[in-house]
Amino acid sequence: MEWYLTLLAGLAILFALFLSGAPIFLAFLFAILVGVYYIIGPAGFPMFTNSILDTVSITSLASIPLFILMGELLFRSGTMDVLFDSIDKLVGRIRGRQYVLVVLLSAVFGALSGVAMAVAAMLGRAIMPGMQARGYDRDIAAGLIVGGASLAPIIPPSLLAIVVGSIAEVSISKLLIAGVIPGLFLGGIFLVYVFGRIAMNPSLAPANVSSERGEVTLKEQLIALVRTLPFVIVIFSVMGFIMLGIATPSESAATGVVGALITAAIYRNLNLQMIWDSIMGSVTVSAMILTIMAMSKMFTQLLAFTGATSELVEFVANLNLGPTLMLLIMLAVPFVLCMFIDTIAIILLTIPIYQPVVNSLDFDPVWFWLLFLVNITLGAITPPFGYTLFAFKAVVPDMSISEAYKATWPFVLLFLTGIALIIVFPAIATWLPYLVG
Amino acid sequence: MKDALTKLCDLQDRITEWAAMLACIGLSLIVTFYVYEVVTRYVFNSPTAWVSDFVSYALCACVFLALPKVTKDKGHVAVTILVDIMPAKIAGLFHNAVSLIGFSCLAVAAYVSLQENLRQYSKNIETLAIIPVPQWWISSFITFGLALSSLYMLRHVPASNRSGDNALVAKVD
Repeated sequence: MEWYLTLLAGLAILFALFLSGAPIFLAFLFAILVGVYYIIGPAGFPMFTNSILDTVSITSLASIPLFILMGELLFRSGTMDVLFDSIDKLVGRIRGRQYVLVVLLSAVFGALSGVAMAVAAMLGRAIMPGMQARGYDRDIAAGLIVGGASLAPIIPPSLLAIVVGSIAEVSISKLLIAGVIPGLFLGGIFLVYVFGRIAMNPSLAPANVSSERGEVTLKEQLIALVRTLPFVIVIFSVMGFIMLGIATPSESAATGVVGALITAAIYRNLNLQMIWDSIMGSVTVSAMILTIMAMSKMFTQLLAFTGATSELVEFVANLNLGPTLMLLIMLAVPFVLCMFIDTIAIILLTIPIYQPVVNSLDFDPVWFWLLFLVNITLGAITPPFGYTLFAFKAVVPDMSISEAYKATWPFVLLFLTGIALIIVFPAIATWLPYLVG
Repeated sequence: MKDALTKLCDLQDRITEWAAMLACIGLSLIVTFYVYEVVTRYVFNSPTAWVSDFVSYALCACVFLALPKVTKDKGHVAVTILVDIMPAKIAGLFHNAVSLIGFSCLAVAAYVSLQENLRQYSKNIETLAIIPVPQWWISSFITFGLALSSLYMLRHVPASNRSGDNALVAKVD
């Protein structure tokens, strides 16, 4: 069979199974078993077990359950509520302060949880009703929450960055650190947009700022600031240890867990049941993710075995489209797919195909994979099928899905602006990781 | 016959819960030993030789010890966009077809994995690591996870086990 027919047949089977509602790992498993049988024959089956074993024994992947555990501990212990109250007190009484609050909370919660859907659901439930009641513009509030939540997979520590780094074989430390500036940069773009809109149309934010939050004295603000300090332990025990070269990303995930336990203890929210529930939650979610990864790895090995991957690379290299056009095409494909299919599935499907192409085009790997990460994050908020969008909609039942789409579009454009700027000025993504090491 | 089946299902559920608890203990040990490694390396300048190998073995064990619980709890991720908008009857047919295909695939995969475990045992194959162990010690967790998950797929088939249009997965939205 021609290589492109093999590739198309493999992908077609996968997509058909995805759309049938089959669990993603099962769709991969079906394609693998059928593929091995027809391409290699029964003699190829032993490599199935060994491939799975090789994938789920990669020590760097241990950071996945550990980062999930860190997030679970912080959420289940209620320490996030402390952070929420403190940041609320620290944001000044400026017109449109709740918009600032959303962006700051998105950045901090995103960093601590790493999961966009969780942040969108949490902020949608916690902030959206209050913003509407106080007269904030519903569209901007909704778009900002969905857009802000999407900073979670970009700002480290990010699960998706670890998954991308592991599969693309690019330094996970560098990829994690590379997300810092683009994440904050995008948050800044959101705020510039919001305050620009308020400047043009003041009715988008309530004029009576004092009604939103009672008078907060300097002493109360200082106390609020002190109450956020324990979170520095978590952030330092993860990013600090990586940047200082004290721990590998996996080890720093473990020290981050200890940091989360210490933080919960400081707030007197630590108990055995909460710890056990967090561990159980982490173990089950990780099993789900890592099983998909193991299956997809085997699927891509099978594609490589047929020669389809190398033929595709050769085909693409001979197109002579130029690096810029190739870059745009390579970003457009996962962007579109992420509107329909789970982010992790797309990552697992496209990275093994992209990886050799990225090398042949001589792209900086940290820059390209960071762009890829921002891009697929954007796919998850882009109508009509973004998953982060659905998570938000689920907790804001009085907002129709078409209203949510309308609210999100400006932030999709802001994300695209951010991506364009990272393409034109690669240093936004590469300066910090290469500075650190 | 029905009583025997119920007892077998209960036994499977109990094994699944115990396995998930073992996975939790495994993850706790990963945290403990990683922190121990950082401390011994940077405080006492005395890195261990075994933590990395332990983590890789424990990670595999954790994943496949927890897999049956994920399948039992319908915790797998899936794209349910189409199934959600189908009429309930057709969605039910899809559910059954996917459950049966899932059972078959996982059962075949478990069988293939078991054969590989036996081969590794008979040939005394060890892991390629600083602290090598017999490979079947680790790979047998894969067989365990796949086999128990396949049985849960079969148990998901009856209509009574369907709690919605598509009950195989936890909906992402």
